[in-house]
Amino acid sequence: MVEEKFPVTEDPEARTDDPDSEVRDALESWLSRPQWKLKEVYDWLQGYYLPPLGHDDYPYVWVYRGLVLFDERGKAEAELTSRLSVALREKPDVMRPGTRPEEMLFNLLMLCASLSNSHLLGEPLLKIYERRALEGEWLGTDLRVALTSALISNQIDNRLQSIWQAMIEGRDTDFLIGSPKHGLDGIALMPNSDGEQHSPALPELGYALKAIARNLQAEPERRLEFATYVNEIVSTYPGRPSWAPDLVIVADKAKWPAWAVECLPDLCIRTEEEKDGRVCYLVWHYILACVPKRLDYDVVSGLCRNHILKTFVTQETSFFIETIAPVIEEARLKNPFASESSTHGVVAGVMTDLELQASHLFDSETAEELREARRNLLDHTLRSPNLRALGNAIKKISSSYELEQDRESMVLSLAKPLKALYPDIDLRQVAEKTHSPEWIVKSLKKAA
Amino acid sequence: MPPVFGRNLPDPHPYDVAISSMLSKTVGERAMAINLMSDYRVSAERERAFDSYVRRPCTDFLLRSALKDYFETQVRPRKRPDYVYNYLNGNNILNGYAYARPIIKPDVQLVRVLDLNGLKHVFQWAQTEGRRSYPARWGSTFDTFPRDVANDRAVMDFLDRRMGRRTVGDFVRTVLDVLSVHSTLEKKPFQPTWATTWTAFREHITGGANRWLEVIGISKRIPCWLILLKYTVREAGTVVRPTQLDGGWYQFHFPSPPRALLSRGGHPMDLRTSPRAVKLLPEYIHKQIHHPIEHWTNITPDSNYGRSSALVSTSLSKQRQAHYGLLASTYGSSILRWMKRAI
Repeated sequence: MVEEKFPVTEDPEARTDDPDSEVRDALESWLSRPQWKLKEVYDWLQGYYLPPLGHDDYPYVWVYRGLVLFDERGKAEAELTSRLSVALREKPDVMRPGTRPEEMLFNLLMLCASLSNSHLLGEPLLKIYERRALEGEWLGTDLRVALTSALISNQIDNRLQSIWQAMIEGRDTDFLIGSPKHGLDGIALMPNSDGEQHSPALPELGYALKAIARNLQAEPERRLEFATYVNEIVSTYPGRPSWAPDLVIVADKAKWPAWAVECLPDLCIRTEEEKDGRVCYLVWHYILACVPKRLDYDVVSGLCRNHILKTFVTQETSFFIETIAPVIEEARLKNPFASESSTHGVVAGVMTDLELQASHLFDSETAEELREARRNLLDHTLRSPNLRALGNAIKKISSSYELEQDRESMVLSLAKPLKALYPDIDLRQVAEKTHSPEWIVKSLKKAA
Repeated sequence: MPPVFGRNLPDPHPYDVAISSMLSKTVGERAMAINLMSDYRVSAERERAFDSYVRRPCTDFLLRSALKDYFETQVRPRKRPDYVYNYLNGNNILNGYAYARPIIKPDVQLVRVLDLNGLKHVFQWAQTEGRRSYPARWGSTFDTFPRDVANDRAVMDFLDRRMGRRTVGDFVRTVLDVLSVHSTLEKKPFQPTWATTWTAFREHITGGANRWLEVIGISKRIPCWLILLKYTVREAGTVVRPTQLDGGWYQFHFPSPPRALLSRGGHPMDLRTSPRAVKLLPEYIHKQIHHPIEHWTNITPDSNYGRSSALVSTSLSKQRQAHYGLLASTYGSSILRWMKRAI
């Protein structure tokens, strides 16, 4: 029989057909041996020990997939990290070991990024950075991008902060290469000012996210994009009870634009603070606008340019806020549109829904007050003039006059009906929004 | 001793020990050993090119290392990979062969299934160096691409956001542009491109993304986003019948038998075993080419992309046996002389 020529395993089907498990088995066998050679590390990182899975995924990705299947993952991860640490201390950036040093170095650095153990990997990675000898690329990616990733995940202090800030702002750095996302990750994973690894550096994060918001300013998907950045940071330190107020406070301190504040995961935050039996909220102004007048609350201060209001409320008001806030919050977070008017639209839509349900949930009086609140909102939206368009028109019309005196009187005559129609209009903003020349600013101030 | 690349000489062959050892190991390694023994499409010249990567005495570890080294050196990163050279691979070249009429009509349409999750390295490049070299060309498309690509879920989340109905068109256009810039302007090719004919593939389109992967013999252990690209043989340039050396250290490749006409290329192994496939698809490779957006939009909208849901692979033994049976029913029992058994 021809088949007999083949050495047959006892039961080939009994062998695993799951590639991740095959990698785990091979890795387990290697990590359990106390004697190991550096060459074996290099061989793993060049994919020589992997099952026949093709070449689409990097070897380090397979190693990591195998690692997560270990029964005692922590122990295995510590052993692997320690072996990588030894490999890093052998100056691989200078010695360039392996058949393909670029592939080995890329996978070594990226695996260090995945393992994220600053205690073992932080110092030797910084040494590679300080030597500035790393060069080359693997599959089109510069090895310095991989080093950047590894350093981000293995920071021992905040010495690289200025580099992360430069990346966020799109500036070149002297050696490392990274995108704004790399910069933000760098800040997000940087130990805080007390050197704590388990808590984020909040003030720095506030300014970093502001810079990200600035980058996204003109993007049509800016809300969804920004929310993705924020959510990623929040999930990096899960279970932190103070995340919601902390984010509002850093947004306030760093002066985020309103649309960015509206991307925060929670804008109806009940804090620990209490005063005269009243509970304290940091709440989005739109939510507060829905509270019926007969329910008592006391706004004590405004944050984020009054988009968030610090408010003390009675238990009854608290019950009402807690009832309606989730509905408004859900709509806010789902709003994909960039403009400020889209927020008005979204809130008005939710208010309509609440109004329809109010007679069942509350009473007819509350339903009527919700209707009133919605009318006010819509009225405000419809009656809000487009300051930029007005500013441009004023600039164009008045500039057509040659004499300064004529220009000034033209600005005043244009401003007069505006003031009559919109008593609350801030004429200075009209000038600011369009970067008008000084003489227009002066005339509008006069009119105001 | 076992044949190597379908040839019984020299006897003994330097790889005999390595191949015998592989045959006693995992199913995947057994499959690789059988493929190396049977893949007669690897010419003697190409074997010599490959052999320069095999250290002596050849063990199974050194043989698999050589497969990886050869692939990473002579195939994947090369502007002109080994498979396009007439003196190395002339027996497998269909179109683009100098001084000869193209074997298949240049107007024949090909289709490739592009796995977007497999483009991590390109997205990573676009997010960092690409952003610096080509500022604003791709807007903020790759800004939120995860830094750690070992995190499969993060990569998938990124693609889920981009492949939504509202944004998919723009994203695919951007991806094709990035691929083009990366491979041509930046001279960082990624070879080979695997394709089949549109007429053979078309009937599987409605089967969905999982089925697309199955019919072309790609096993993905994680869900992934796929797009289909349709183009002509003319646009593909040099079209070639693949060998195991072009697939590298990849257990889901299956050589085609000697009776198969060169024009049909190879035959991808259908990974679905129940019900078994009843038809063989042709399988070709060519160099990476520029894909204009029309290669994607010329397929009915909504059927030109999809998200595969789970592991496609079941049992490699069963898959190989099913494919072997299909080869036997198509080409006759003579295949038994070529490959004694599937696994």
